[in-house]
Amino acid sequence: MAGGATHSQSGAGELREFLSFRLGAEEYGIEILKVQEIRGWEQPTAIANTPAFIKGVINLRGIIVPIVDLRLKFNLGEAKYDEFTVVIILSVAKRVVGAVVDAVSDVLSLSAGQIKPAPEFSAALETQFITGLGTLEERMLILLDIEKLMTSRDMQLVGDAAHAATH
Amino acid sequence: MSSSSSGSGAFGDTSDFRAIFFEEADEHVAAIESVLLRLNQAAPDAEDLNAIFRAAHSIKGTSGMLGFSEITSVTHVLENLLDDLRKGERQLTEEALDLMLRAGDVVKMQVAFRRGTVQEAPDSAAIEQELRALMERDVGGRPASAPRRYAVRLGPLAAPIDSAELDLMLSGLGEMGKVEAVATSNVAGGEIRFEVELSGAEADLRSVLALVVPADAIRVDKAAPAAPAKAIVADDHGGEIFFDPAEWKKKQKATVAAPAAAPPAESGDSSFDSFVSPEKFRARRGGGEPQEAVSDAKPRGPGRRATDDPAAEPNLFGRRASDVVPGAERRGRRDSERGMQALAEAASIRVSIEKVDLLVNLVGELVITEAMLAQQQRQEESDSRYATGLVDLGRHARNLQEAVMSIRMVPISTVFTRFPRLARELSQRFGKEVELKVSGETTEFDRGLIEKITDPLTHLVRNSIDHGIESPAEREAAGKPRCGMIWLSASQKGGSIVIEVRDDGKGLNRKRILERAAERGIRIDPNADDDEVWQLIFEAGFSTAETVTDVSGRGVGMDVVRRNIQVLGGGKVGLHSREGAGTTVTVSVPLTLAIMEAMSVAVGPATYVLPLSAVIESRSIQAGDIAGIAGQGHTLRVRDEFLPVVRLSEVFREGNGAAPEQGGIAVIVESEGGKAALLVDELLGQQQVVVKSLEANFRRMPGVSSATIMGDGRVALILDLAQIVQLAGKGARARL
Repeated sequence: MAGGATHSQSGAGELREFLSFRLGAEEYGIEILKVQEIRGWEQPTAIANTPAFIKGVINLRGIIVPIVDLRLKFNLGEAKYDEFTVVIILSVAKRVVGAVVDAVSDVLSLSAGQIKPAPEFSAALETQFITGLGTLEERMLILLDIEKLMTSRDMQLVGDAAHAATH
Repeated sequence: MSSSSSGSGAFGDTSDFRAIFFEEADEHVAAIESVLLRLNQAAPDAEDLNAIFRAAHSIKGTSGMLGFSEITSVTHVLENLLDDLRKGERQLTEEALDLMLRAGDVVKMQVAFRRGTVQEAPDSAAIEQELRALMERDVGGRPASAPRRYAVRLGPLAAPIDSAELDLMLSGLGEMGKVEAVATSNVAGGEIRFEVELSGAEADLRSVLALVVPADAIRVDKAAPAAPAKAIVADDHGGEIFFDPAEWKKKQKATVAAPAAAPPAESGDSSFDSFVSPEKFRARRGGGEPQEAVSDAKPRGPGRRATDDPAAEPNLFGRRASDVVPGAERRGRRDSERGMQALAEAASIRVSIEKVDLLVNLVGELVITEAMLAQQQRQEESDSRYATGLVDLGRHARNLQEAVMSIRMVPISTVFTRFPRLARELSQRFGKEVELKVSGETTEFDRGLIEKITDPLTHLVRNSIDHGIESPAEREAAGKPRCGMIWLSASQKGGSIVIEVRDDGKGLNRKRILERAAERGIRIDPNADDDEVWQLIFEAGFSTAETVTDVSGRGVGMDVVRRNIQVLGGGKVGLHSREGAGTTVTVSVPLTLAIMEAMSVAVGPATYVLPLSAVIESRSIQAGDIAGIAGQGHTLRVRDEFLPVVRLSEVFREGNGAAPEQGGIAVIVESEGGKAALLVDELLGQQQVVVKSLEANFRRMPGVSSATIMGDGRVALILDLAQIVQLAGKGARARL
């Protein structure tokens, strides 16, 4: 996973771009390069015998894309679906996956100096998926290794064979 | 006979050219092998031998041009042997056949190595050595074929012959024999005369001449031996050059020695030892424009296409048709088109499979969009002009889809061609006599299936030879002909391709199978009919290799064959056998995995799609139709059968769980492991669906094989009936 590991090594002057979004009261940031597009909510086709946070699959211009609701996954925010609900279409590990979040805020540029290592704290997410904390004025962003998160066994998005290949 | 080289400056990018060579070489090698295998050993067909010769020659020429000297070297020796054979100077022995097949394998490996698909360069020295040894060994008994002398008159010419072409033709003849007394008046109405001494047949000579001159302007007569003379060639531009055939011949000899890996020239009069490198060829032509051979060529010979024009714009697929056929290679092509019609790719282009798949995807989208529009239009009942327009659009979209899908289709001969070789080798190894008869090889199916079906079929053919066909002695004792027969046939039945592997061997051994079943603790009625008993060999671990015959088993059993076939869109394997009379295995798979005839059903709020091929019937359920078996789920009585009931609502936990006992609909499906009744709420209709992978971005879900996109743009899941029925058939509650 080339995504997260390089964060702390980047030079002080180099800016990295993150897409920020909200889950409940927390603000998260993911590398903009992993984001393919942002879409409005459309009812996916449910798939039986999957955890509740896997909402199903949608037709994204002819390809079948699974949709996960991160709010349900991490018990953050309120899982309601209306015209304001947004889906971030991610391109991770050669797969296309949609993630439902509370709201997408903006794209932020952070220098290496603004990214602090993540402390051992009990967030809703395991620390292994957190690459650092981004600070920008008063705001604090939890920076996610979205690729690692989405392909983790925990998300149940990837078959076992693929797991063996990616890990 | 074609000339083997050309100016290579016309194609700047050799990597492109290499790629073409690799593909063509593969085809040529495949052609060599398939023709070798169908050769009648006692009286080989001259045209067959010529076809192999041309294929070998073509590889030799192009590999030489690209500097793949080791390939050139092997094909050269092969070519020499073939030349002797086609001239009737040598008997086609079993040994020669084997050596040629092995040489073909070596070339195949060499090409793979050059291509980078294998890491290790194959050792070609051994096979070359053996081929040479074979040729030398027989050389004493070889009837000396006296070269014949022909007087050739070409003309009257309708138009002057392109000087480059004439040059090439003469050099081609020069390679075959001696060209003498050339007198040329290369103008409209003029005549070209020369004498040529060669050991080949007159037909060969004519075929070379016909490359340059229309057949009706060729006159070939037997001529008396004459002393060599200086000849004059007047070229198109009126200038004169002096031309000495003897000198020319000397130059050709020189070219042979030039490339390091080129084989030493054969002694004697056999002039097939020479072929001409592109550099030498250019030099020989007095530094003429290298492009000349390409650009001057006017479409006049047979097999020339208008698209050969190298100036043609790259087409939609980023590649000109002419990319494929540079310069003199084209002449080889013309040859092969004449001789190997079935094997040559007539007027075709090569397109990468990704591009075709993209096209398939896009057309699928188009069809779905069209369906969405049509649906909206029906609801809104708007202007009827739009309605007719939409109907037309729908028809065009579907025609387009069909046409695009047909691009992916290939004849099954691509799979079948490997079996004659396999049969030959295995029968030798097992000491059996086997004849393989192939039919229906033009039946087309999706090229995506080639790889997936090859292994199971190979296994079946192998089984037939190893376990089916008896040894010649056993066969004679049983009153059968010594030589066993295996029939491999393909045909299209509806949306499926049916492949049959039939042998006239000893058939399955009922007693042994029942014994083995008992050993393994499989319960079966000892009076069960044969078909039921045969089903046992599909059980996992019930290897036919170990049970039905005593030959130690290799590889996988029939259970793996069946599983591999079943994953191909619900393919089926059937088996019939009669002791002493033979076994027939029938494999049936859909023509394509990309499109499926489907039935969609509603279960609660969800829509599911079933492969139509698995659906037998559907019926509404009456009170009392469904009977419970304590703790074992339910069964539905259909005529005199009791079928396990699968409540899809339960399987997929849809709805409120109170599946309707009445008023519901049972869809009777048959899949691997038998029939079952699926309870659904409603039948929504039948349609063709484009099969989409669920695993590409997600993972495999139990009970679901793939997904599709319905007319409204939503995703519907395609059920894996084999899995669902299997669970139901085992009496377990169908919880996945």
